[in-house]
Amino acid sequence: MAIIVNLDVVLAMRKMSLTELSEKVGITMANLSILKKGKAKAIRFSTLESICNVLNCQPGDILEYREDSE
Amino acid sequence: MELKKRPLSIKIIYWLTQITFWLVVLVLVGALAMNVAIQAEWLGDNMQLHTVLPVQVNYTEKGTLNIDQTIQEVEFVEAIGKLHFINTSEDIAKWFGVFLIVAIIFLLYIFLMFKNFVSNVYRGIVFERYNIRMLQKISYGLVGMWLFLNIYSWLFYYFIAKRIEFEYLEITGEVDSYGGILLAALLLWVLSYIFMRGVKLREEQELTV
Repeated sequence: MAIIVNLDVVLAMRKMSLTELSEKVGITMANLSILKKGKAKAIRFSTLESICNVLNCQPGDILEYREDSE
Repeated sequence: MELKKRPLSIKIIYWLTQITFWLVVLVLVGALAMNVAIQAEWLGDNMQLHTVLPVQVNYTEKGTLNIDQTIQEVEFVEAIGKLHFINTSEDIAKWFGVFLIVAIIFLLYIFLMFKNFVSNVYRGIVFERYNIRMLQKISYGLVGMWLFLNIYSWLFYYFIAKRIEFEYLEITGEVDSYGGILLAALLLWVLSYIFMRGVKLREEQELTV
């Protein structure tokens, strides 16, 4: 997929677990796991805003565009 | 998702499909055995082949219709019937044997897909990609069946029907087109396309965080 989710990297930098993020953001672990694994088809602005707010980062820190190498 | 209580109609359709499918399998096995016997020329030249005549026949016969003492004159004009080959020759039997096997294989494929589809619905698996693909496969099978029947009908017309001479009835050039099968295939394909779009929308909805 061309959009890479770097949530695990940001979480590691902030030394925060996925469970902690889930509690602070108010998103289920299942949904955060979908996002972390890069299986999500879309992300709501509200979700992105909450994550950025809790992790104190920019959307660009979490999402990255990479060209498909085929 | 597992269904806790299945409607009676689904149960009836499920069991009817299962029974019909295994009957078709039985017919295929019988047809295969028959074909082996025909191709190996074990049955001789006195087989009684009974086949659908896929060409319209014109026939003129006058009659009367009696309704509440009112007599209405009627005329029988055209029909699609069956043809009986009296003491069928081995060459003809061999060709019909091959056509029969192809037709039954198409039928078996369509029934197999339908059986799988109904089984999934019975188990509560409805709006899933692989279940909807079954519908698509049924529609492709129906298109294949339609093509095969058309080829068969035209071959039948050129090589058999055109060469038959009867005393009172005339075989026309109106070969059956089996439009109903094609229409059913198209309808099924459109339905499966709509369902597939629905599945994609649902997946997108479910995978939106």
